Amino acid sequence: MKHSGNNKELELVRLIQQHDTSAMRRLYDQYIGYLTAICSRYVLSKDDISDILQDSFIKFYTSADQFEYRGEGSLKAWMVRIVVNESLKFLKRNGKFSIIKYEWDPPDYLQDNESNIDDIPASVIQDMIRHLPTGYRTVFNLYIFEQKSHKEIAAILNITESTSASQLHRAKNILAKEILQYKLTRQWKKNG
Amino acid sequence: MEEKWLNEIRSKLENYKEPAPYNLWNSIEKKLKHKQRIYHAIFLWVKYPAIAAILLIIIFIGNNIFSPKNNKLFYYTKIQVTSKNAFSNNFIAKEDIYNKSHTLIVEKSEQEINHKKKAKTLHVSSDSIDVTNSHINKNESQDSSKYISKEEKYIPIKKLYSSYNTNKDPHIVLNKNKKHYSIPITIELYASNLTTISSSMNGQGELLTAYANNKETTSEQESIRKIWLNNLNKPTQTKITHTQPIRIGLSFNYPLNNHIIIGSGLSYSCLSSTFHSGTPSSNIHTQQNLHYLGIPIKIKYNLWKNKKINIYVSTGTMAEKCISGKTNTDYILNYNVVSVSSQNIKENSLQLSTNSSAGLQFNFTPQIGLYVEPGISYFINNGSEIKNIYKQKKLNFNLEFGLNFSIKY
Repeated sequence: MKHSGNNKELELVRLIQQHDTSAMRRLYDQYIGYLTAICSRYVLSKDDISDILQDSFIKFYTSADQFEYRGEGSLKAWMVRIVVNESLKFLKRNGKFSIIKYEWDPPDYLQDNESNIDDIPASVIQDMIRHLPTGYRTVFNLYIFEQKSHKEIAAILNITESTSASQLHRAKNILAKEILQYKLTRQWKKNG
Repeated sequence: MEEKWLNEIRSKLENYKEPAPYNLWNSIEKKLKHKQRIYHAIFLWVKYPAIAAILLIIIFIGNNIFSPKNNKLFYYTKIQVTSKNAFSNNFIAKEDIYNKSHTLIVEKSEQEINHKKKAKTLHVSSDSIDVTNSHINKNESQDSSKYISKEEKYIPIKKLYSSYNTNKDPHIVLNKNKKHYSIPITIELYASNLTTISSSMNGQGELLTAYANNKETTSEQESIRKIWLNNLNKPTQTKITHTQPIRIGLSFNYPLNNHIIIGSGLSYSCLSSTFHSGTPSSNIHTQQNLHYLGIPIKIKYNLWKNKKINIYVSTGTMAEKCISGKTNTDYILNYNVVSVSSQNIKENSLQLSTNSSAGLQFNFTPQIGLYVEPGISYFINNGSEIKNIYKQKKLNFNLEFGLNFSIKY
């Protein structure tokens, strides 16, 4: 019998659709790390992250019968979608979501030769993203990680496309600045 | 994505993991167990009774198809007995299931009594029929007057026929006249309603919920924002009114014995609510209509019964599903409707309820009765997010009235 990743996942999905709670535990163990990381890019407080993840898991359980397994990665993609939606709902509900419209856009910051981030640990990048102001951070996450277009982001967040574009632009600028600073600091530490 | 470094960020964090928040699984597990209990309850309360109801219907139909000759049938059979002497005794045998009595009505023509010659007379006894020869003369004719009157004795129709057959002399012609069947099931057509409730609180609760709702389009979000801004320094109110739901239904009942009757059927309920949030000048007003289709299962116990009146108690359960629901929302700014929207509502979970009641039925005729049945219903929380009267008021008083038909065909 083939024990490929796909079969195991499909089996897990089937068990969850039958409301098997031990299958939920296996799902939790396998994916909670990824989902926590994703959620914490949108929401900062640990308590809020916990609430959102709880709601997400209940949603996995109750709407599992609406999920269609479409091959490797489709399960994770489905769960990520739900977690992102719950995070956005939370941000809107709590009014922590303010998008300020600017009149002008600052120029791009990062030069090509400075753009190598290979040796920067993922946890540092994650931290930098979390330090972005909420509005920029949300647009950045949706654009870069969820790969939404500005048009889609505008519909989700109820802003204009141009606002979405400028928020992304500012997010990129701040990140670029942070990356540069990090590299310089590391260089200085090395040197002396 | 244009820039290399952004692509790198994405791939770097694609499989990035972080430790889960403290005690997260325990909290999830608790909530899952709660959900599982609901699913299990649905399984017990709906699937088993539904299977039971279907089995009962099958048994009932089978019973009537495959054994039409059992004593649940009630029919008239006209039997004519003729003998060589061309005398005929007419019998009408009638078995009445409803009153659980058996009647053999004997009719005799006057001529036979006065006839001098030998005649066959039929003595009607409790278990069988004796065919005897007897002489009738003028004297006896007076005595035989007792056979003119109607006699009521129990005779199983089969035996009647067979005992006639074993006797060679009497020539029996069985004339079957009209057959009337009466099957002791009843159909009920009813309507019932529950009480109305309404609640009101301060604040713009509904406005906030609507604002957070992802599904609304931009123009509605704009309207909501304007309404909210308009009401910022004013006292606002949220009022939720659930009006009396109306339920109509059809049910089929079958008596197990003289006291216990079981029944099931189909019911339709319409639940109407309004949600109003804001100030009198600027507010959001939503009208919600939900349509439920349900299967009730009931057991009735007759406390007292006679031809005209029937007093009973009953208990049962009902499983309902929301088959369609719609909300229509008006956004009102400074007394003008600036926007409208409507939404379809879906409720995935079943709504279960239990019911206990007492009833009084008045029978106009043996076939038709009118009944009134006040009772109490309890609606089990099904965990759905829809707001309706079942959730606001779980324990509810209801009054059901309807018509009860005994079918005959």
